[in-house]
Amino acid sequence: MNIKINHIAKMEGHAGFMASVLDGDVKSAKIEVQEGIRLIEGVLIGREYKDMPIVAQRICGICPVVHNLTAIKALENAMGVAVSQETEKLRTLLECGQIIHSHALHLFFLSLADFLDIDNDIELVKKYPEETKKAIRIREFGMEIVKVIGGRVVHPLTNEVGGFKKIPDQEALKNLLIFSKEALGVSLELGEFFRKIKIPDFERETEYVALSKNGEYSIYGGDIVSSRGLHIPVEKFESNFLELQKQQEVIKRMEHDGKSYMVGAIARININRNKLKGESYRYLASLGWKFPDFNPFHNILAQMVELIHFTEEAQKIIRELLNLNLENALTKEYKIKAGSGVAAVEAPRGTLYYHVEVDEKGYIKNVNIITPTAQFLSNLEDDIAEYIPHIMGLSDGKRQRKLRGFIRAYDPCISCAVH
Amino acid sequence: MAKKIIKVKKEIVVKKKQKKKSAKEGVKKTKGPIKEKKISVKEECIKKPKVAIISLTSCEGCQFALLDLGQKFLDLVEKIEMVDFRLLEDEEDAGMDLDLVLIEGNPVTEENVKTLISARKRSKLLCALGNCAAMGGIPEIKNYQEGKNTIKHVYRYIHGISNPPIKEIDNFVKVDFVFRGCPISGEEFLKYFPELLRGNIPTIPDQPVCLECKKKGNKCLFLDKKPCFGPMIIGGCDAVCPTAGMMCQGCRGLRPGGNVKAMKATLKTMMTDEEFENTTEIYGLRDDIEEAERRQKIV
Repeated sequence: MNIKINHIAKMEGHAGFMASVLDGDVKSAKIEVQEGIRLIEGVLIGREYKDMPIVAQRICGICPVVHNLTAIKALENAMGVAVSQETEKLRTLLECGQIIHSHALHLFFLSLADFLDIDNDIELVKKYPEETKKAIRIREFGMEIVKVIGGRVVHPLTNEVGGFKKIPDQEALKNLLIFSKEALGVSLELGEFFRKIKIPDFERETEYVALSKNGEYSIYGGDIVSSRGLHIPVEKFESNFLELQKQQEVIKRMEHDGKSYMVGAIARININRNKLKGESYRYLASLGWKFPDFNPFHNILAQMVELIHFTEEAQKIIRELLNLNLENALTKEYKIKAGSGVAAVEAPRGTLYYHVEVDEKGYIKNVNIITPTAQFLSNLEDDIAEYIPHIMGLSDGKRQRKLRGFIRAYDPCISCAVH
Repeated sequence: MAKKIIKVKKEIVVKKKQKKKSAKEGVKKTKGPIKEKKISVKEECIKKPKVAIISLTSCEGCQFALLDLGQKFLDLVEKIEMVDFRLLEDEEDAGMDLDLVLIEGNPVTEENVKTLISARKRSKLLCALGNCAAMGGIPEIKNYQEGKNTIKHVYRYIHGISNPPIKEIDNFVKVDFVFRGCPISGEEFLKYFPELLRGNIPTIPDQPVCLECKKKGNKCLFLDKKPCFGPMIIGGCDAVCPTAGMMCQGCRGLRPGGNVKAMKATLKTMMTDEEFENTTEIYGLRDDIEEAERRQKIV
């Protein structure tokens, strides 16, 4: 028999699903991508380096911040541009805001209804008005961070090679600090609500990959580390991981040692959980997971842990920024020179990787962008293939619903994956 | 979707034949000359306009600009019947007639084109939602570069991948109104959307970005000899880019009353012709400028 879903809603981009099952054996399980190509890497070639963050962040309307950050970091590495600690802190805070608002959206508005057997969010918000308010509030906190530092939520404006065009004023930062206290309280309340949700029992062992750095739950720097013992600098990513395109496919998939692997919140929690402190540490402990944790549905709760963590982290960084001279974050003069650079930043959905080559005049010669969804797509399919036998006893409608929920728990972004 | 239902209980006079029709359209008072019958009608009629938000190939940032309005957006959704909004609803679009459809993104795949054309047929009004649908956006850059060959930088196997030149949606369907910008401005959306729900097509005032930029108290970038497209671009974005220290790159499109020739002459001292042309490519402005220049020559 074939299991077919024409169109999976409530996620970014267009995709369906197709599986074929013979005598209880899953012969194939495939996400069918229906997204058109925009050729972002192609259109960048021959353009001035300054256009790259502006163009590349438009890969994604939900995570433009991380595309902007990674593009800029790769360009700085290519041209040997150093930036101040104030710049790095502002950028890390931007990424905290990015992850907070993306997670809040996914957790509550895209994925939650699947676990409560509700069809659409209009119904969801009617049934859970208080929780809706909280989800919106915490999302607003993430968005406010991006707005204050980046100048705008969707496609931010201030960050560029060498630093920031404009820095936030002290007053705005102080208001953010006040907001962060409220946001932390709200995120803990939301955490209590999510803890009570019934998550299906399902496990499949896989390899987790995330950025890791001594002493911190890293998102803006660090090495590439895997749960199977790999530890390499970001520069070695492309020589250790294989990017491949199947004929007629518009997503270039990734594999490690010939196998699929997983990135994103659940990967980060598995790899970096020991670096969590305070409320996020306590919340994770209260979930009672055994590590390594291989339940892909736990990605939802892993995002909840991170929602708390990045709210605490944002608060910490805002306090530090209030004691620093932000003038140092303003763009300083630098020399344009030829070079090749790579960078990786933790996006809400996993490690985002950029590789860029520029010529001596600053024109782009080559670009490669590897997104989280492109990395975990095969892992998702492998998971589903193993999950399907667990739900074969259900009616067609219920089975489809479970599958949609499974796919959405991964938080795929098809727009990013195709770009 | 839960529907706010207007209950109508009225003693009215209807012609027998019209009874069914009236039930569909809402209750009308009619005077039937021959066979009149006094009946009591308890009717439940849905008066909310039917709206769909459809995304073609895009970053979906304009939909997020709507969602980012938070409670304001949810309040707005209460006033309409959302027939299709994939970001929030799992139900498949049943293909019913629409009062208003918002189209985001570029028609790239054959499916995109079909969706666009069918949306036009189903809807009384069709609006472009953002720069890609209205002006071609970032993907249009390939039209100015290697066109069909740009794909070779990205994919090894290109057979079977849909790769048409990028065309704005008004090349395929009639567009009644354009929400401008990359992304659109949520606040501006709230301003014009209610008017569209009433079936009216709003007009965006022919004012440059500079007007709002001045109101914001920004120092004009020209004073620092820095380029900016503000004077020739239609405002309504609250000058968000110059306020963040960035030049206006024209994502909202040319003002009807803007003077492209004069603008180019002013910018000559601040950027080379090549820089000017490259910058106009980012948001699909270049073809519009070329057309404006042709028109200016004719005049």
